[in-house]
Amino acid sequence: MEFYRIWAIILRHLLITFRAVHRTIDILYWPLLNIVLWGCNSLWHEQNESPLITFMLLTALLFWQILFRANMEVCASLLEELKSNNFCNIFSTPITLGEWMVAVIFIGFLKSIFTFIFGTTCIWLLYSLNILSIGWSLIPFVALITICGWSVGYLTASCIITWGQQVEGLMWVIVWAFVPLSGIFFPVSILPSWLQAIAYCLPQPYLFEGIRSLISTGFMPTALLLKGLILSLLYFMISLYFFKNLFEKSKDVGLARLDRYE
Amino acid sequence: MVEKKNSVLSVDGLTKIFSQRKWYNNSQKTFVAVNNISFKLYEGEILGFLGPNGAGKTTTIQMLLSLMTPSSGIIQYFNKNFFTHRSEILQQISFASAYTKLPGKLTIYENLDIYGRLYGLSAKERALRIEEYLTLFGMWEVRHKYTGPLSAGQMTRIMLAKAFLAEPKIVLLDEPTASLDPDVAEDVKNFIVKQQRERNISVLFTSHNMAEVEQICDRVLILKDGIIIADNKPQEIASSISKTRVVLMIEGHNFTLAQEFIHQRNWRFEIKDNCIEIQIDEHDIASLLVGLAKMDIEYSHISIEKPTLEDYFLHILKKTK
Repeated sequence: MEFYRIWAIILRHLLITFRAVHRTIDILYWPLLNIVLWGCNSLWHEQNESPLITFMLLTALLFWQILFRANMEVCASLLEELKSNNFCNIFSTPITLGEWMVAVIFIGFLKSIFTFIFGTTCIWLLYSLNILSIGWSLIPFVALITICGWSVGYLTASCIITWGQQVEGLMWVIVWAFVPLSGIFFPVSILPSWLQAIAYCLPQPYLFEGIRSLISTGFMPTALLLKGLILSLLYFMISLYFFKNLFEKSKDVGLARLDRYE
Repeated sequence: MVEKKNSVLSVDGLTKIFSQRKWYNNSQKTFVAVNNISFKLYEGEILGFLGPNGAGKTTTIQMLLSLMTPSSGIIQYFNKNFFTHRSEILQQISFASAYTKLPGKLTIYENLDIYGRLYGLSAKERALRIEEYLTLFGMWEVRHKYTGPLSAGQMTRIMLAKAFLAEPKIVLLDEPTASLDPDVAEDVKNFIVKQQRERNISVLFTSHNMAEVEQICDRVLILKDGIIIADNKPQEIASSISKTRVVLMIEGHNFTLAQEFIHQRNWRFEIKDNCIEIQIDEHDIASLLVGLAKMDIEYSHISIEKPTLEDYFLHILKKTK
């Protein structure tokens, strides 16, 4: 074993770590996120003695997976084309950006439905809890949470279409950044008031609180659902507009650079 | 040379300027990649698009496919503005490049089937044409293989099958023979020429292989620093920088006679040992040989070297340096 060879490899990795911003951020981002997330979750547990807490947590976890899957499908569909050097081939055919976006949304929808069915079955088999017992009222929440996932997905895809494959890590970073603000694993009321103000600008807290309310009261929380609906659709439209514009902007420099076809 | 018919592609004043603004001092750096180029591609023509690295070929191809927005200029296909009729026009255009690939976890057949669908081919058309092209390229037997592990030669053939599948009117080929073995490159060239002849397809063809361009292109555009510096038949472009070299090996007193004859015609010549090297226009070769025959001048060896596109290319590269 020679020290100079070991040092050469250490140096190679250190140089990259401090040169690529996303690698440095990774070192700080994930521990901070987990501390905030599970710290707040523990605080909620200390304050809440509801017998339904496991059911609420697992339902929220399932809905978070739906959101995550919808987001991932948008980003993964884009990255899939870029990594296989097929992006220029696709967009040199008659397909329009709108058609591509609809196709990606549809595949995201299918996978979200599959995630829901699979997750519900797992929770039933492993914990003997039947999420479907909540009833048909779940459907609008599934739909709106999926739309939230697409919004985050198109926001991230806008970054990828601008900066290329080097920012693919944002596919996980951005969606997780919304988790502490979404009230998934704890109610937003646990957060400091200034963070609550930010959180309530997003649709997710209304939807996740709506699900918790639905479980605990058995009644459809119409006001929360309505706020969630308006904000979900608003953010969805904004994210589509954002992606479309950045796609056109990316064409100023050429889509081929994203494919590494040059 | 094909007879010039209708133009299927017309490019007018196409320009691409890249600019980069530095956020910290607001200064702007600009680079003109394509500088006000204009050209036409005619029906049934194979047009070579050549230039050194960084000349602006790929940038132009990207603009011709709407993968890049031009800074200014007009692109018209079939007399329709490309920017306002993009989808309708791309229905009749296809593209293949040695530098793009197809999803590796799909089989050859699945990939081609998806492209057939993107061009709106019916199930019957897709099945028939995929079989036709894969059989033509000798790849029908391996149609259920994933495209990921294919060799460069196999991938090029699949890309060509993809490009011709929808029976387009125009095909843009960006270095389709790059990194191919000579036999495969020959097959590809033959295929392109056959498609052009049988289906009257127009082809815009970029390549670094000058011999190949001379062989298959009806006309050549040479791009340098974003400007078209030549637009002509390959042989005309080549002979624009040097004449044909005729070397004659002549023995005895005939040598002096030949020298006098060539001198009288005002042709440039050089004497090397017992050889005369004459630089003349290609159309003067016949009168040189007839003249020598009339004077009973015998030669024991003759070699004729025509200028090639490669000579032209090297010449412009030297000028750049």
